[in-house]
Amino acid sequence: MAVIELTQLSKWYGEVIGLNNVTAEIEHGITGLLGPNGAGKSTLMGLATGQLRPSKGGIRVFGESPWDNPSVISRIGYCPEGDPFWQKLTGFQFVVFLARMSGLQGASARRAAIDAIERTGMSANAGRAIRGYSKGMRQRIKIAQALVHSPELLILDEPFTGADPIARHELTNLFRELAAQGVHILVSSHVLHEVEAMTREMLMIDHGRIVAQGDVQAVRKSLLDRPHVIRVRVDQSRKLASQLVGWELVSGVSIPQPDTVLFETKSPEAAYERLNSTILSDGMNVQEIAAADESLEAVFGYLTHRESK
Amino acid sequence: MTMNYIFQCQQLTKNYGRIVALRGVTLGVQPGVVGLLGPNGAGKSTLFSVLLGQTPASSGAASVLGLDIRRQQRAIRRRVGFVPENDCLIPGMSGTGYVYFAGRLAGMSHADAMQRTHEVLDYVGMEEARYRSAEQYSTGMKQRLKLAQALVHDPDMLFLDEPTNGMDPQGRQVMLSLISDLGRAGISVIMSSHLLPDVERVCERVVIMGGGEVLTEGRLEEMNKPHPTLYRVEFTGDGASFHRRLTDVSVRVLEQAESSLQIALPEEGTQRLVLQAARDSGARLFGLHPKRSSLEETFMAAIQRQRAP
Amino acid sequence: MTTISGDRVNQYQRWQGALGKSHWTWPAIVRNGITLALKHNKTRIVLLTGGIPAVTAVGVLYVLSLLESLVGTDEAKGMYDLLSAMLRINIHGVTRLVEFRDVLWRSTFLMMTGMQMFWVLIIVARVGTPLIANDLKHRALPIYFSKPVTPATYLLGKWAVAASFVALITLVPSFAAFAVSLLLTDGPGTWGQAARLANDLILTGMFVCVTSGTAIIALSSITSDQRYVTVGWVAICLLPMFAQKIINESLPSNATMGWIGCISLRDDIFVVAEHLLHVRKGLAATSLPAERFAQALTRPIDPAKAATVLGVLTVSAIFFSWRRVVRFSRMAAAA
Repeated sequence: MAVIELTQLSKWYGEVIGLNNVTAEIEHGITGLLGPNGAGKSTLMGLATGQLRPSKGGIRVFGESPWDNPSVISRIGYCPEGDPFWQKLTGFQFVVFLARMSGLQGASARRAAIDAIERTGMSANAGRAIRGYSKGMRQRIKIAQALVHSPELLILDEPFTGADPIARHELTNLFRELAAQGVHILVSSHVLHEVEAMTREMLMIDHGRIVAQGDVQAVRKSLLDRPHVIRVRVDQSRKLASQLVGWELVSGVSIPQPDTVLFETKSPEAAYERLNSTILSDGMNVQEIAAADESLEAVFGYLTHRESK
Repeated sequence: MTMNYIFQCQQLTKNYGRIVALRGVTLGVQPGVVGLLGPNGAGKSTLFSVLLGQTPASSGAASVLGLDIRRQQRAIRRRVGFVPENDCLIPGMSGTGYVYFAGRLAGMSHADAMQRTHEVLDYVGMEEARYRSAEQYSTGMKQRLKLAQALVHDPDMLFLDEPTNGMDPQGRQVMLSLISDLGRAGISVIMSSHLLPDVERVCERVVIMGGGEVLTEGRLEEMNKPHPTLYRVEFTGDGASFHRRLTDVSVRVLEQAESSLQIALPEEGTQRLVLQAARDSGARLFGLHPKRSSLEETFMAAIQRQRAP
Repeated sequence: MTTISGDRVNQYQRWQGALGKSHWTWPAIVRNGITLALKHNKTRIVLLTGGIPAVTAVGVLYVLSLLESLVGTDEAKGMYDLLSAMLRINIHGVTRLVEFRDVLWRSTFLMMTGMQMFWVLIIVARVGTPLIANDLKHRALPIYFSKPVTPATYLLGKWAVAASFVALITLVPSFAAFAVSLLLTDGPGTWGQAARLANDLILTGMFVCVTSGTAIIALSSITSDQRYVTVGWVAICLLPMFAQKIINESLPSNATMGWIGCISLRDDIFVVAEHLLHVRKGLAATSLPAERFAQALTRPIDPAKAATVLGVLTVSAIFFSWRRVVRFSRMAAAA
C-alpha cells in the first residue's frame, strides 16, 4: 500500500491554484518533492498533514484522510518551512511542549524530547532560548520537534534552508538512518544535490501539476525527445570528434575544452558501444566517460524549463 | 605587499568582548571567483565587515585591492560592491529607484547613475518589473536587484553573502551564471556560501574557515583533482565475468555493486584495460569516472582536523 | 562600417565614468528621503495645511493696516475685537497704531509660530519617525555602509530630511507670509525694522528645525519599530506640556519660575522664539499696561534657561544618535 495516495486532488485558495487535479502515489522510503517556488509543494505538504482541506478530490495517508483525523496526524511528523515558534522558549521547552501536544505525557514527553534533541545534535544548545539560535540550529530544533513522537511518516519542507554544510551533512545522514529504520520521508529541497544524496525517488511538480514521478534515471530515459549528452575526456579529442561527426546516431558534437568532447545522441546505448570500440581500435586513451545530463539537476532543468522556441 | 592579491590579511584579529571572531587570519587571495566557506560562527561575516572597513580590527593588518582597511576605508568602498544576505530593501522604492540611490551613494552623478542603473538592471535580467515596488519581488528578483545595486558603480571586486540561499534551482542557475560572467569580465568575486555544489560550479578558488581561522585555501581544481588510478565504472551485463577479465589484466576491484565497480588501475594511463575487459566480457560500459574528492569531503576533512584536539 | 554592440550578447559592461567626492553623498540621502515621504498623500496634506498659520498671519497684518486708516470709524470696533482676540493683546483704544506696528508685527509672527508648533508635531511624527527606524527594520543599512557613506554623512542626510520638512512647515511659509504682507501693507515700519524682523524670523525658524530635527533623529535610532518612535515623540511633546500646566496651576500666578518653568519643551521653544522675535521686550517698551498683553506671552521664564534645556537636549540627542549610527555601521555586514 502506498504511504500517501492522491486522487484527482485539487486545492485552490480563492482564485489562486495550489494543486491542480493531481493523482499520484508516494511509496515507502525517502521521496524528494521537487519544484520551483510556487509550484505547490507546501500545499501538498499541508494537505498531507491535515492542515489544509482538499478543494476537490482526495488524499489518503496510511489509507485514511488526514483532515480532522488525529489518529493519522499523530503518525506524521512535520517540519514546516517558516519560523513558527515561540522565540522566548528554550529549544528543550519547545520540543517538550510539542511532544505534549502530540499526546505524550509528563516524564515520557521529557524523555522523548531529550532523545529527539540528541538525534538532531542539539543537546548542547537545548537550554538556550530559540531567539538566539542560528538558522541551522532553528532547522535542527524544528526537526527534533517533528521526530519527538516517533512518527512513521516525516514531512520536511525545505529542512536545509540556511543550514551550514555540517548541519546539512549530519541531517542528511540522520534522514538516511531514519529511512533505514523504516520511517517514510517526504522531503522538499531546492538543493538537488542533497536530495540526490538521500534518494533517487522523486515527485516533481510545477504549476500545481505533477511533471514527473519515479526514479531519476528512469525519468531521464523516458524523456525521449531530449537527446542524451555524453562527455568524454580523451587525449585525442579532435580525432574522436571527427569520427563522431560521421556517425548517423550522433546529432551534435562540441569540444568545450581541449581534452573534452561532448556529443548528443538519441540512442545512448548504441553510442556507448560504438564509442568504446572506437577508442580501443584507434589507440586513444580516455580519462572519463560520463552522461552529462542524467543528474537530478539536469532532469529537473529539462522538466521545468519553459520552452520558448 | 603584492598588488596581485585582491585582499590580504596579516595576523588579522577581531574580538567582540571575550568572543574571538577572527583569530590571527593571515591570507592572500588572488583575483578570480572565490568561495568563502565555513560553518556558522566561522568568522565569514566578520571578515566581510572588517574588509569593508565597517568594523575596526582588534589587531593585525589587512588590505583590499592594495588599499589599507584602516586608513582607506572610503577608497575601498568606492571600488567594491557588497550584496548582503538579508533583503535590505527600502520600502516604497521601485527597483530602478533603489539601484539609482545606491549609485548616488557611491558618488555617481545623477545622469551617470540613471544610465548605469538601467544598464545593470538589463544585465541582471530585470525587465518591466524594475518600475514596480521592490517589496513585491520574488526571492530571485530581490537577489538580482541586490546584485544590480552592488554593480552600479562598476566595482573591481564584489562581496556576496550567501547569494543563492533560499532560491529555487532556476533562480540559483541564473545567479550563478551571472557570477561566472562577472568573473570572466575581470571582476573578482568573493562569495560566502553554505551551498557547496554552487561553490563548486562557479568558484576558481576556495577559502575554508572555521572558528575564526583559515583552515584551507587554494584552487578548487587542485582540491578536486581526479585521482590518477582510482575509478568507478558503470556497466550493464555479466558482472562476474567483467570482474574476472579486469583481474586478469591486473586491475584491482575494490568494491562491487550490481551495476558499478570501484577499481584501481595498475598504473596511470591504463584506462584502455577497462574498456578491453568490458568488450571481452560482453559488458556494456556506460560510465568511467575518476575518483575525485568533492568539495564536501575537503570541507568536512578540514573541519574535523580542526576540531580534533 | 558594421558594429555589434556588446549589449546584444548581454555581457557585463564596464563603466568608464568617475565617482564624485564621497563626502557629498548626503544630499542623495536627503533627496531620497524627501521623495519617499512625499509619496504619501497624508504627508502632502499636512504640508499643504501647514500654510494655514501663515495665511492667518497675513490676514491679521492686512486687517491691522486697514485699521490704521479706519481708526475712529464704526468699522474699527470689530477690527479691534478681532485683532485683540487673535493676538491676545488688548489694543482697544490704541489710536496711534503706527507706533505699535513693529511690535504687533512681531507678535503676529510669534502667534504664527505658536500655531505652527502643532503642524511640526504632526509632520515630524509622519516623516521623521521612520527615517532611521525603517532602515533598521528592513536591515537596509548595508546599502549605505558598503558604499562610501560614513556615519556622519548618513546622520547628516537623515537629519536634513527631518529638518527640511520642518522648514517647509515653519521657515518657508513664515517667510512667504512676511513677503506677502510686505506687498499688501506698508510693512512693519522702516526698512531697517523690516530687515531685522526678517532676520529674526529666519533665526526662529532655524532654531525650530534644528531642535525638532535632532530630537526625532535620536528617537528614530532607538528602535526598529516606528510605531514606538511615534508614541515616544508624541509623549515627549505632550507629557511635559501637561506636567507644566499642572505645575503652573498649583503655583500662584505671580510666582517667579526658575528651572521648574522649563519642563514643557513646547513652552521652552516658545520662550526662545519670544526672545528671538523680541516680543516681550517690545511689548514692555510700549505704553500698554502689562496686564493687557500678559495673555500673549508665556509665564516669565528666563530664555537663557529655556535655551539651555533645549541645548542640552539637542546636544545629547546628537551624541546619542551618533553613537547608535556608529554602532549600526559596524554591524552592517555582520548582522
